[in-house]
Amino acid sequence: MRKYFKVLPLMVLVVTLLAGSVAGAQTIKFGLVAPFTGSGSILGDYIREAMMLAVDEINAAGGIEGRQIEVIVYDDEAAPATAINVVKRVIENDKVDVVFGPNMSSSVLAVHQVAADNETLMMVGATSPSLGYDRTGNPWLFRLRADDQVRVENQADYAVEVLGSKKPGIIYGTTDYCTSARDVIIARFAEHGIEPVAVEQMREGDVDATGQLLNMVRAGVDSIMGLTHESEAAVFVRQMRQMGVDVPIVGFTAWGVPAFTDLAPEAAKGVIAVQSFTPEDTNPVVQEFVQKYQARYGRLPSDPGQAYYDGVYAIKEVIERVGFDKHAMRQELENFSGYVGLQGELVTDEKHNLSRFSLISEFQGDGWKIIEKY
Amino acid sequence: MQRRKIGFSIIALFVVLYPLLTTDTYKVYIMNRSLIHAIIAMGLVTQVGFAGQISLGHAAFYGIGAYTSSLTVLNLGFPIWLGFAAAVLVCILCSVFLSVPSFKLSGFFLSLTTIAFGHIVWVIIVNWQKVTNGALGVFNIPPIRMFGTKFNNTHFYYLLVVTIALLYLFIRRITNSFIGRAFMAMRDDELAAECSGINTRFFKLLAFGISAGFAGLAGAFYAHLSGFISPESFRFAESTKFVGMAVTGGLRHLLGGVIGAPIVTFLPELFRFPGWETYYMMAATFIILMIVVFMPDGLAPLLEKGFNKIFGGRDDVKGGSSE
Amino acid sequence: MLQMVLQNSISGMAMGLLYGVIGIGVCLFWQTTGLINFAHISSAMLGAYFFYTFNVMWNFPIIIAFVLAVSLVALYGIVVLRGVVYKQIMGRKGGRLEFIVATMMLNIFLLNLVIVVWGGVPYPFPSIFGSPMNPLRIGRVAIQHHSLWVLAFTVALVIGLNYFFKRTLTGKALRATAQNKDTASLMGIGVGKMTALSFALSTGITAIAGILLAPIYFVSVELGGGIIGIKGFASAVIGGLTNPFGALVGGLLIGLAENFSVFYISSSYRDVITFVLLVFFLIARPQGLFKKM
Repeated sequence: MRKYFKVLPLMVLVVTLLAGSVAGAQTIKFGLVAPFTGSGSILGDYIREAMMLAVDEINAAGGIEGRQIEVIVYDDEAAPATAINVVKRVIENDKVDVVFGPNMSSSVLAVHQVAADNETLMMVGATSPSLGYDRTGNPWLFRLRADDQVRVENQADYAVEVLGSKKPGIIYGTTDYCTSARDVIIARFAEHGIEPVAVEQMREGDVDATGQLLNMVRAGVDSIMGLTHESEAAVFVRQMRQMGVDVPIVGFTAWGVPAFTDLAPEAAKGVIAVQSFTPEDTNPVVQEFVQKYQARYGRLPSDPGQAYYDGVYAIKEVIERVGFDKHAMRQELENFSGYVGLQGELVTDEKHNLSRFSLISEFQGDGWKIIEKY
Repeated sequence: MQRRKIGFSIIALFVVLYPLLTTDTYKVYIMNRSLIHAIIAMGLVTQVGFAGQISLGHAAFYGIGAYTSSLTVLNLGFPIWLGFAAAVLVCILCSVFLSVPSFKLSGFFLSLTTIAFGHIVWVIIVNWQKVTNGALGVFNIPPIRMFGTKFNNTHFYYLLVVTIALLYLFIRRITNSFIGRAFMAMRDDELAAECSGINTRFFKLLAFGISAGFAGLAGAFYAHLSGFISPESFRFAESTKFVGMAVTGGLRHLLGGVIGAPIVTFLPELFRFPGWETYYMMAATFIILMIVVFMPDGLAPLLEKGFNKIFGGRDDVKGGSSE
Repeated sequence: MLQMVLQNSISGMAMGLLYGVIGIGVCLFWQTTGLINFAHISSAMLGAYFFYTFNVMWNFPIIIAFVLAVSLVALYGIVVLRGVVYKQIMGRKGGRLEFIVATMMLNIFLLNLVIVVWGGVPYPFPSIFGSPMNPLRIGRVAIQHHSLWVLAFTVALVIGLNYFFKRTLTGKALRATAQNKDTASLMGIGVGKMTALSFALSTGITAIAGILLAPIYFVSVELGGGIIGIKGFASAVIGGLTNPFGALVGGLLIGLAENFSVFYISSSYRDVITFVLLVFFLIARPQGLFKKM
């Protein structure tokens, strides 16, 4: 409830800003498509907050090449069918210059063709390997976060090389985010000559994982790879602690965010996770961002917000280099380099990923301790 | 009678010109989605409204249709029309499973069975990865082509309008025949229907088959319109939406589905004001709730009355309304 | 292995009890109105959110927060569910079909309302039923304190309801109303009051169930939109719909079947077992496991 009242004045602000900018001369329009009501609604809030922080900073400093940024926000319910509706709306009806989002991999798969058909830049934070340029062949689709391919491989490597795991177990969810990570990690383990001894599914909304845990114990796992969404991660670690299953647990990105640790702060102690971002990062650029964010919203930023913050600034940089022509912008983004974002230089690779940054950290109960940065 | 013709012409003109009135393909696209939903809702009107057999599992048939058509076209090299035929056929076959419980059950118990059916189909779609590609979904589904042109949204719109017109005639023919009378007799009093020599099992199979076939056809349309399908689009919530469309339009009215589907589909879109990205759904669902609670007959009879008032003509309610 | 089977059974029963508690509310509503409320599970969601708001956000003492939350939901049951939805639909000689659809839409609306008011993010529930980190351990088998609370509550509830329906005048009047409204009103029973009471009872009890579910499910929209609602229906149907005790047994059956299907078959098809059981019982034994209470 409190959060809601805090957001309200912000929205009024956004609306007035929008109204003001419409009245002004020329603007550049960004669309944001993110989940605000569906299962992933927590991500939508973080994304909008971080993105608006960047937009307001730029607008206060005079905009991009003198043009104010106007942002149009739509909810996609984290559902592909709705994502198609709103992406079409934001591109074909509102005619935005750049679309940010959707943030769910399956939604991006459903809509990226719309961006290509209308020749509109689409900057997404979704991380499934199936969205790479090598697979989609869509020249207008770019990704602001590291590919899960990279991060999940780091996760497997860490389990094998650092933890010395020989008999890993896997718990995964049913969405494409989870199942594609499962495929990547099984393939990577195979490269190490290891076959997971237990691969168990936990459906979204499940609140009991006893059977899955017992199967893992029966198979004699020596480490567990967590590839579920946040709520299921909380349920899983809680039950793991209750049943006294005492093996190291390494999760992927959903296991490295407050949406997970807030739900099970005690049980999550000792969980190791691959993250894209953590506010504990001592990098001064990150710290400056964290302070600005906290001053404005009263809470810490979270993954994937930082990616969209970077994305807005990257577009600004691109426009300042080549102007407002969308084809020139796309070409520039294809070979983009030389701009330093929050977590290092953004460089576009052959898969159209702008970032490859990831870190492995351990949850300490009050925050994350960074073990390794990639 | 002259005035009625004018009225019909105005409506027909609007339907024909709709995609040409706007340059905004998004509006045409949403209309296409509504028309696809309308096909399912029409099937539900037949099954639920006329035959009295409730189904809360139609997202399953929608999904089976979408997957059947896209997988047969992509993997078996079927031409698209054959994919459509396969979708309809597979759905009708699957509907047999669902109608068997209806021989014994009705009302709440039947609705629970159909919910169970919907969930089971969903779990199978997600987990049968070799065939359905699981949660990743199926992509690069080819669009419909005719005479060498790739169908865009506008072509699609006309195809859907023609399809719906044909389906409407089909349903009207059925409900005005002995089948329709058997359906309504079965709905109003099953025992009495049975006593007067109506084979209720056969007519239940028929009702389920018709609406499952409709949903399968809609699924195939959706797959080839969007080019991408994933299990997310066929969840239980979709089934409730479909029934909501049929009720909003009017469960006992032939045009119920065609009127309800666009309303329920467009409502959330209308509320997407700037800054409303958290509220629009609540507003839309509130209006639908109000319609369902305060106008259980739906909007179609109301609109029909309005039409008759403006353009004159018969006051009797046309179609299969028996009350 | 024995320990594993034991642990699996105990966790399965703990979950089953929760399904059963939801099922009891379904039974109660069916018994008194002859209807099934598809917005049933929303009462649990509202109960959990109200309790969370009063207890955690506004720092009310647990008892006050509990009473307030449950009475608010009961009030919603009387005013919204009975006063608007039920009266409107039954007042127009609408059938069960209209009631099903209306309550389904009510459920969807309430979900969206909760998302607007509280946000879609799940909240952690305070550990007032004992810390989840230190369960009771017998050998190597862990039992959560929370499960014992649920067990105590459900047993008390079943006994209490039994007593209420069989021994008290109000309870008997309620049953009479459910069986035949006209006869009941001829006997001088205030039918309107009785319907109101049955709505309040079933929503209130479900609100308590929601508060009991929250430590496991978190305070989340998953409570109102997830599969738990259908599992509640399933346990009620398996138990025969007329007997709260039956619903409890039905819930336990589902909980055990789920956990052992994960253990012996596959975690991927866990939810299918509930539905297969449900359909099996509907077709093969529609009267459920137990006779009418």
